[in-house]
Amino acid sequence: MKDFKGKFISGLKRYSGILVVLVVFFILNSVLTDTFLSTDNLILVARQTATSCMLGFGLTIVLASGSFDLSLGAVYGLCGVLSGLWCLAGWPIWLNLPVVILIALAFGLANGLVITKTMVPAFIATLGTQYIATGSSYLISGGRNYALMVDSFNFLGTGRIFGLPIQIYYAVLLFIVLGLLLNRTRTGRYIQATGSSLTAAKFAGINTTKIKIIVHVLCSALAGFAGITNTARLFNVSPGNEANPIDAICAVVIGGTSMAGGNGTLVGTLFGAMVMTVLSNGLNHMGLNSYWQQVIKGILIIGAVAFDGYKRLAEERAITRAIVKGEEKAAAAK
Amino acid sequence: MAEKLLELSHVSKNFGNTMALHDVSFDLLEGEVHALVGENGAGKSTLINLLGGIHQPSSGSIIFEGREVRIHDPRESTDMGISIVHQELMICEDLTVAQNIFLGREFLKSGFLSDGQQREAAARALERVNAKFSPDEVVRKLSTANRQIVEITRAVSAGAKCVIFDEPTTSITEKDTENLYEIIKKLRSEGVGIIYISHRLEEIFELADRVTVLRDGQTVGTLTGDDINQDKIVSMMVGRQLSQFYIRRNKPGEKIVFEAEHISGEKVNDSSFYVKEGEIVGFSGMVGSGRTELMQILFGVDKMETGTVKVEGKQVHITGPASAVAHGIVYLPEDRKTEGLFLRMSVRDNTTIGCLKQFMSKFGINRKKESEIAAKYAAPLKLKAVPDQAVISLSGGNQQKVLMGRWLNVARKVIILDEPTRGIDVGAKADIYGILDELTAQGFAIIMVSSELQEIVGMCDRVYIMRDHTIAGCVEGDDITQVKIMEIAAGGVRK
Repeated sequence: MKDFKGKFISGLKRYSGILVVLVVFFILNSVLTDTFLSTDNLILVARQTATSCMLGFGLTIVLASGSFDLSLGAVYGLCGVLSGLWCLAGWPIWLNLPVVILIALAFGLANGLVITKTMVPAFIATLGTQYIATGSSYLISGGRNYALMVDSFNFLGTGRIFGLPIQIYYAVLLFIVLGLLLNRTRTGRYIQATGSSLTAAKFAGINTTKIKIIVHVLCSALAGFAGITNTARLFNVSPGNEANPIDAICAVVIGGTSMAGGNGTLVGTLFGAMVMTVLSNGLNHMGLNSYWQQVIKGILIIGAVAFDGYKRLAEERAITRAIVKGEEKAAAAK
Repeated sequence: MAEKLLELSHVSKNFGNTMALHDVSFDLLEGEVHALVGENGAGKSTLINLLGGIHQPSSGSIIFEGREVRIHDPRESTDMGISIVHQELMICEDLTVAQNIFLGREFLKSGFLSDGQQREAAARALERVNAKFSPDEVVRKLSTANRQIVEITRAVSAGAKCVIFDEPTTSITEKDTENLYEIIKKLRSEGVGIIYISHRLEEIFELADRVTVLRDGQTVGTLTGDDINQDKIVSMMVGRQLSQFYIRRNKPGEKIVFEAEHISGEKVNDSSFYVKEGEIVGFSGMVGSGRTELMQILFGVDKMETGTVKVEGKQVHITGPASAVAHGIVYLPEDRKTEGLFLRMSVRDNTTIGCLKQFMSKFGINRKKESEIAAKYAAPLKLKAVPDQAVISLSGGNQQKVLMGRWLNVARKVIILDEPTRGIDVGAKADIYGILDELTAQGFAIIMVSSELQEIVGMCDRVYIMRDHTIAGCVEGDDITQVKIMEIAAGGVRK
């Protein structure tokens, strides 16, 4: 119990910055608008947060391994289009979902293979697959929109269980499963080791190629699934329904996961996703146009990362001081 | 008689047309420290990589515990009982001590990681090497010496019967080195066979039961007992005598070129010194005593809070590295890989980046002149590289020469060198000492910060010793001895 309390407090400390921002936005929104605090709106915020998490969690794991994925938003779009069209073509869900997710897996596999087997950096490799996925979804749909009304399929995106949107259940499930994966399994440990130091991981006998492929496959599969639920929710198949990868990156980075790898945090990503959602939701309620929202998001992401960097710098100074002090002490003892 | 643990029998390894090892035979007994020495490029790294499973021998055999083995990857090597403590520590900074120790062989309970069990095992293993930090500490928060202990612990807890130390002391302090000796001696008494690789011969005298010298990929010979002495080892390594090593042909002049008075900064208190024309002034002291910090203030990298700097009697204001260079002062940093060189750029680009102005024409960079400048110091430095070669592919010694070449092109009066020979081989060291001697003849004032007492004693006209962020003393002439310097550095004798 004591251990749990200690963990809780150190957790609060670690996320102090983002929690303050979250609380401030929350209070501002509650005070400045009378619609923000309504049950319907809070459920909406929860659903949008959950959707961001489905992308953000996968990306967190990719960043933890020291890699990067720009293609997830486009894979999300492509999988939405494919599943929607196949649903309209009369495919049953039990066939539709696995096939679409297999295609998402293939994109992840391609990302992983290109990154590990060639000298192409992750940023460029996934930029490439992003274009391929986007292009494909326009080619396949002929650039047109289709209405989609198939109850069993729509349930994947509009369903409610005990009054809560189904996305929340997806996110909670993913949080638990990925949390276990990242923190309680060998694979998770190896993901962090690979991100922390690729060479050291290799010398410890870890198959870093396999690890990088796993994280990319996972991330793409999650993006694919999220894309399917999005199409199901919108009653509409459209190649324009891509997710913006930058929003996912914002959530993850604001949550404290480093772009340099080694320290992925799902809790942080959850908070990051909340901040992003509460911010845009609140600004909508205040009637601020979306261009302003973009400007504010930009400031927020730079601020968050700068704050993080500042915190790390202070920490590093403290470490240096502690090491010097320890050495002096040892010298004095001698 | 101790059992033979490991034997390399007539091993050769070639990469394409390059012969890295040629017919090398080497053996290691249980409970002995067998030192392996040789210049960079002599084949030490290749030999380690063969044992570590990174490369496989082209011919010959490796016999471990009486059986001929083939080691295909690092995992197999560890499983067999061979562990390597690498020079560039192979450690994941974001993981904890316990996680690093058991990286690759985690404790599992019904498929999930069992951190509790792992922590206990790590604590026991750390105790065995007298480590004084917790297994839960994140490695990022440990000093280099403690990180190294984590690596050693990893090796030992994996049940290593043979531990290979690759240049273990290049970045740890004198005191931590003592601690390392103790750990190594303890392992030896427990019957572990140890291969010890180092450039520092004192360490070898301290530890080694046998010494094998490699040169140009071949074994020159193995020394035991009384034969292990400096003259023998060095002459075997380079094929020349030690007395030719530190050469000073010129006496310093009388004119004071550089003066620093009452310099204070974040980690430096009230330090004053001067350097005369053609003089080499040494800066000694423990790591962290403020030597590097003082030099970085003088070069304008760190902020100077109080103090004045004079060059040839005139006071100068140094606002940053560019202004220091403008006043004729150059600084070769301690950590050449991060602070000095652009590793992926070519030798030429690295050399000329400090003086691009000299050959900028209206139409951009004058390539011809650039090549001339890049080549100017290559011959006197005995630089073994072509101008287009990427610096990352060079040995430590040649990298340092590239950096020297860059700064010699812009140096006018004062040259500050911070650990100029750290981690480089004996031959390259001799070349660098030769150049320093040459520069004194040209009237440069040279400041050399070094942890290596031998080179301080061998090369310097005067030596300042720093302790607790200030200058604690100065010795010159016959007083420059290792004992005197150590006394002042450790705080035994006051000025």
